Amino acid sequence: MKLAGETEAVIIGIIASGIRLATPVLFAGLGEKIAERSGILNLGIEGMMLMGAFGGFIGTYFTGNYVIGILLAMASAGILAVLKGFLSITIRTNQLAAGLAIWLLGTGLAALLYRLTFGVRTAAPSVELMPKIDIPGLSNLPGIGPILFNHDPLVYIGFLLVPLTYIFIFKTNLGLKIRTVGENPKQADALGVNVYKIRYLAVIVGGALAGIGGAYYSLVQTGYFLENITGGAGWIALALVIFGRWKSQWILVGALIFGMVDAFQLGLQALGTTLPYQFLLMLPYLIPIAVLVGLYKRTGAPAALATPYVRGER
Amino acid sequence: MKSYLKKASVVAVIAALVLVSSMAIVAPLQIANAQGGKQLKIALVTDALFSDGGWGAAAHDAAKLLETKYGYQVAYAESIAIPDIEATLRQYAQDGYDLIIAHGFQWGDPAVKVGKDYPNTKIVVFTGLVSSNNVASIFPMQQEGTFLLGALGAMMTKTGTLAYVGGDQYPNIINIFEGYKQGAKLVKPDIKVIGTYLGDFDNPAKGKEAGLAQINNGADFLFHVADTSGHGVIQAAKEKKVYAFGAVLDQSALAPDTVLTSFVLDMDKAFDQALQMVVQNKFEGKIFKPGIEVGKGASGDGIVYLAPFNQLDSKVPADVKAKLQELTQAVIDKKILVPERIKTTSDISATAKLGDQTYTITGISSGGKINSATINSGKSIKFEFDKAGDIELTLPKSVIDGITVVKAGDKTVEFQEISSSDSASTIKFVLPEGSSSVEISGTTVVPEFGTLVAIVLAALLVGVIGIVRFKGALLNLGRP
Repeated sequence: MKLAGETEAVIIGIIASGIRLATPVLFAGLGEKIAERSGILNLGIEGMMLMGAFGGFIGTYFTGNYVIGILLAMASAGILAVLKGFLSITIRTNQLAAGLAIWLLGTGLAALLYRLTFGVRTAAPSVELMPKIDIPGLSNLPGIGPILFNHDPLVYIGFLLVPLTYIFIFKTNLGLKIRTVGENPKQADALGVNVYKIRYLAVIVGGALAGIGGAYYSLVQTGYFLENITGGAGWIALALVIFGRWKSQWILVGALIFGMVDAFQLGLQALGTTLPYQFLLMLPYLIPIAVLVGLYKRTGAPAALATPYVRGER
Repeated sequence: MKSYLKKASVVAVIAALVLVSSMAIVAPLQIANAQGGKQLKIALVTDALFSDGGWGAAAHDAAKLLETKYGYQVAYAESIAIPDIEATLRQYAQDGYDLIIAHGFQWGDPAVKVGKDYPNTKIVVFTGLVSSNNVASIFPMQQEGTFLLGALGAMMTKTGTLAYVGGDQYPNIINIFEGYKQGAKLVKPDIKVIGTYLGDFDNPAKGKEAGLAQINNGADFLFHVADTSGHGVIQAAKEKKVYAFGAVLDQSALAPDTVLTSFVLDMDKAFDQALQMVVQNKFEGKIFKPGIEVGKGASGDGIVYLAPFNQLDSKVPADVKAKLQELTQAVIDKKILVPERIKTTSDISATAKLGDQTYTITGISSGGKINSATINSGKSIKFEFDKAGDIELTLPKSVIDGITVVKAGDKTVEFQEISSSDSASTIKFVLPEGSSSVEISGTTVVPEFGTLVAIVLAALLVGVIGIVRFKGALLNLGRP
């Protein structure tokens, strides 16, 4: 028989684990949302996350400072975002192809730079994990404390970004411009909005956020950089944006469902269930699909998504 | 005109990007210059990454050693996608390579296919299970090494719970964990061993959460066979200050205060053996199954060993070390057999009555349970199973001794006596599909993915869809 206290510890463990699993995809999802709101579909997000994971790792490895690590993560992913912008905005290539190219480039480049820096060795260099921060007064609350207020700083920042990106997109002048550019670039241009500039800005901000998401893996979860460390999180983030109808709050809900269900199935396996593990591994993908089917009404995608804007063209 | 220019520039940019990224994979590999010796051409090819800090990295180091030790030239190719395996082998064979070391189970079948067309090229598949005239496999008996890990964990656990995390349920990995379970149970019959499969070898974040969940459920030894996902498992152990076991190479450097030891595949020795077969013209197209050795480079054919405790040496009590040494020797001497088990097993037991005596028979099975056991006084013991499968039974000698025949239905099946003591002997056999009764042995079945679970799942999905669909309207969900 399990004692009540132990059961509670297991449940708290699962929920806290779900929040950690949700955080990197939340960052990437919110970033992608901003880019897509401006009309740029960025399939290269996985590559940007890997560059972020690498940038964050070397920044922290050489300076011992997490802030520098995170800034370098944002910059590394941001550089790829500039390139993505150049391909999709300035020379107007097919956005799907450009995104895939960015993904491959990011994956290869992160691996190349890592090997140039550290070589191939059996003992991977590591950094200390980013410490957890207890929120004073709140982290001791029974139940809720260890679930919500005993995390690393990036979890708090990620959750804070949900209302912030909402306010940014819906309540600021710049957010309005981004939405206009994404819905009707011609009209925006007629109103004197610089479509190209706004799109570049949105893609770069989105890339930088994806970079933080990538750095979460190297700085918070493992302390290493490994090729493919993000394990496909960028693709999950892309799906989350559609799932979340391009809205911050629903992207958060999607990320949490994904993270929680994954944590739940890992917890269930550890409990020694007799259910086949293949079934459990399916759950994090199955449940969101079920929700998506239930939600389906109309997409709500920005009207000019993935459509290049040519100034002066009819 | 303009659009042509545009298209051309698009193609150029994308081509450049793809080129740069593919170069990124190949660029850091260097081909060493031969420093004398016969100009034998050797290639190491793998689907893994040389930077994975484990499986791939160990192979890379072992091949590098061939260069420095003998001065041969070795070519390297990593991260080969599974569909490109055959083409890669063909390319190296075409280029006249004498020895191709193919690193990974998946290389087996393509190796045999390509080998047929290039009889002068010798291919050695590491962890393969294939052979032909010019193709050999080295399939290490990894379960013998992990048996020792299980025994060590069982001797040292404070919570009575060990755990393992697997990348995926491949036969080879099941075998590794079955050895671990066997070792743990030998030392502590009532030990709890919990397992998690990730379905992913490249997801350290998920590996870490899996490890944390296991620790939450009382495990104080985490063992992983999950490549880079396993780095996360070790990180979980480090964070919660419990011990971890590394895989494939000495992973102590990843977390010196956490990784107590690792089961190591001595690839230096294995690759050297492969090379010597070619150099000395003694190539044998067969499957080699080397087992454990006492330590790196020890005499004998073994290539599996446990890494030293390194800086945790003082944490392991002397009697544990002595017992571990004793067990190692017993496995080497085949006094304890650790059989290959490529299916997940569970424990089974049954009681049989003879007169007013009751006998308990225990064992493990990959299939079903024993429905009944009856003793046919003086002659045989008969079991009724509910399913076919691989079965191991421990039969008390007071019930049966000197086992001669195992029959499934009316057909005789092959059996192997894997251990024997004064009081009982353990035999292993396969109950073929379609049979349920065995004269002399029995099995246990893992509960099937039942109808009940299917109904619950269907109800859950319908429920979620329904709630979101109808309540969603109230919450204004899904409105753009």
